[in-house]
Amino acid sequence: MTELELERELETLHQASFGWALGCCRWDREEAADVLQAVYLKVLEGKARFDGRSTLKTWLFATIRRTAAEARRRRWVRALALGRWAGRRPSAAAAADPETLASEAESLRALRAALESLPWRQREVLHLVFHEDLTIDEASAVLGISEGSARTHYARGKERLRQRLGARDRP
Amino acid sequence: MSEKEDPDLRRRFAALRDEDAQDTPDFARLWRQAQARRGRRPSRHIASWLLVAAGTAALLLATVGRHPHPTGASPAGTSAMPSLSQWRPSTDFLLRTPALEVLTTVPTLGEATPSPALSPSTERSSPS
Repeated sequence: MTELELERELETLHQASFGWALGCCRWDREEAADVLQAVYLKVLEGKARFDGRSTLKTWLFATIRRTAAEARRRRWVRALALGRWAGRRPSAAAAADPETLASEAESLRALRAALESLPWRQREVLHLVFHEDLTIDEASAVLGISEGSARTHYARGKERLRQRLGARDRP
Repeated sequence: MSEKEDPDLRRRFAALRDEDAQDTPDFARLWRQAQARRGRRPSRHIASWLLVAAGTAALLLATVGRHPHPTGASPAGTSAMPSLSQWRPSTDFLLRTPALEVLTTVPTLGEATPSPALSPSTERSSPS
């Protein structure tokens, strides 16, 4: 695949990629854009190379996830070195107060807050399946886990998410 | 268990996806920025090789500096330097005391006792 062909393919997947980057960066838009740019840089430099073993989307999502994790680690080390770990910026979802979420916009914030409260793997599987319309099999390929494990995370995560959203929807 | 179930969750996530898509950064802009960064940034591969080369050179210098030349021949540029056995400290003259020869030579029977008056420029005789 030439660079131009790859560019066109990536452009087609750009919106979905940004959605997944948002999920990996806890809905921090600036950070998600940085991660996506870092992914494109990896692709251009040949550090991330599509070998055709999976679909391009699965490979790209796995690269985004890895890059976001690297960025998170770098940020964590930097914060630790500067002694500012305690004063880190809270995520948008964490700032939401579940008691006051009523309108449509607040319902989205409630969903984000509920997702944020789930264990990391469960959140990732649910995001990939519901937000990105991937199958559980594809989600397991992105996360590098077995399909059985992904199904377990999916079922448990969905159950917890329903409970949390149900608790918030109740008056 | 089918991932196509759960219409309520799907509806909620669809709304979330629509909102997330509103502020998606322009692909062309991100791609151009990545291309610009590619030109600026030195390859990490090259940087790591340079680091290894510098480390090896430093180690080599430290090793050569610590151990003398195995053949005994002095390396080029060091032949003019005095050896350690020839070196004398600048304060060595302070140790020269009158009648130093008495202390540093072995007297023999039948010889005259050397004069105690010694000039400061007298060469220090080595022990026999």
